[in-house]
Amino acid sequence: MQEKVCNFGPSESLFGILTTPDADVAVEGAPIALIINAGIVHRVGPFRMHVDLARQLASHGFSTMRIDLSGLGDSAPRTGKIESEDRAQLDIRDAMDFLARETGVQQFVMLGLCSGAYNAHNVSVKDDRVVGAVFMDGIVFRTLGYFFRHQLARLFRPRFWRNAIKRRLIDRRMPNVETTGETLGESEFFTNEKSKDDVIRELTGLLGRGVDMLFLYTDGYDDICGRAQFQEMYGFQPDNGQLQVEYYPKTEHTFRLIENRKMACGRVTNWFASRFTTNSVGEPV
Amino acid sequence: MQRFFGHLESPLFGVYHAPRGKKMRAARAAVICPPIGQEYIRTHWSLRLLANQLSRKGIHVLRLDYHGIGDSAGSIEQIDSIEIWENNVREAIGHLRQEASADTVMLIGQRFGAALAGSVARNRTDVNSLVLWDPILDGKAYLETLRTMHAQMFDLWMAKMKQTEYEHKEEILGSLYADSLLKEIEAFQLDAGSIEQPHLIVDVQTNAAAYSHPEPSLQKVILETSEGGWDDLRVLETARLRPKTTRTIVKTVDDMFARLQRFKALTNQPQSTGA
Repeated sequence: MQEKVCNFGPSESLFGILTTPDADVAVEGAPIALIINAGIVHRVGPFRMHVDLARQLASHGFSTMRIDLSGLGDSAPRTGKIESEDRAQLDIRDAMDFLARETGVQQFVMLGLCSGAYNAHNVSVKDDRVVGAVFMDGIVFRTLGYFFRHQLARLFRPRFWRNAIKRRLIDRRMPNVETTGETLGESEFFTNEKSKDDVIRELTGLLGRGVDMLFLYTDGYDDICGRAQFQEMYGFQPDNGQLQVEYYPKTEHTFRLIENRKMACGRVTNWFASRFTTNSVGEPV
Repeated sequence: MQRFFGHLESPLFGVYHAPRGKKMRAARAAVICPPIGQEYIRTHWSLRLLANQLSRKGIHVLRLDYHGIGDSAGSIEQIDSIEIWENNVREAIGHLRQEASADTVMLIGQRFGAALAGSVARNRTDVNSLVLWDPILDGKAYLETLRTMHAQMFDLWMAKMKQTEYEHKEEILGSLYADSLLKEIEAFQLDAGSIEQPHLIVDVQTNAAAYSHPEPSLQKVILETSEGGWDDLRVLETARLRPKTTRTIVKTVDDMFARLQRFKALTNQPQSTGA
């Protein structure tokens, strides 16, 4: 495995790390995965998940580039008046242009958690070079099923009340750091302004284009409860092929626990290997 | 400018910030030693701002990722001794000295990075001064805080969970540490009073009173504008920004370099200095 510093975009002001597999394991003709920032965490990802993922994919023969969008990590901000959402899309396209020039690869897979998934969705919809995407805790809409399974059901769980009381006690004991103006949270960087109909239309387009998709959701992401919600939201039946959906109960949104991170990285790697490794006649293995 | 350096088999990652503005007569250079574990991620933004601001004062700055952390090679569970990270800091000093054509460097460390900086600086004539930001002086107390937060995180988990047991390793706040490394961290003590170089300590009011030095002119203590939050689980994943403190550090570091230059202490021959 090799890791290489890459500078791209306007005046080479954007930054990413390209991880490539050793020649003996490299999967020929495979797309390159672009790993996009989650919130404001720099390219290593929450709890270094992006590094683990990049190296694990390389050990299975796939290249990745983990990037810092403009203004995040070690990438300089883009100048000019551009909306944050558009900026992210320009950055990701610049990364694909750079990789196409440097490596000759013309197909890409988007990988993103939270705001990374949101940006991955927007780029996938607009750029035909995207042939696959992993959306981790991406765009969701609350459904009636969510209300019963989550909102209502938790009221009957003693642990919900126990934790709420404990959290309140901690809040009273500790100073309120959120109001000091010296912290940055993830919430300031991800607002979904799409309607459910927009997303359904866009996903239909992606399915029509043959884009392989893996949706991973966690218990810790407060707006989804159970794998069934995917179909409730979008009307698509997940399968083991082009549209795969996974829901991880007892798992935090940012995969805080090593065991959870291993599980997610393993799932993504297996998905990648199954969708983008072809046999001698070009069929998926 | 981002780069990999050191051994090809196991490279270190660093970001070099070239000096801007007027050229100094003697090269001013500083290596930034970040915290470890989740604290590394929380402080990345703030240390990048610090490095940018220092470079505007004409200082060559190298931000370092230790092995097993950030973009450097390896994973943290492979780190079995503090010595590995100390050697990483030594390697970064050599790299920056060459890049900047500097005889000596300043070490700027935060949290456990400050502990490593203090430890590496001992008996080195090519370290001209130090900045210790919220330094870990007592490894045992540090680990106790992290373990308490880890236990609290599990206690407040959405469902009752059993912690995964790892052989000869321990999971603390998202990182897997080798037992041997934890033993060394536990035994780690840094006596700021024994630091030989001029040094700036940045800490909260409650800790500041404990600092003293037999040669008071070598030690300057400035206060953090707000409490640390290092023991607060609620901000475990929140970027920790301290813009006012950062500006104060930059101003003081600039002043320290001016004094070091006046005392001709930026060259590799020890001189009598005053902070």
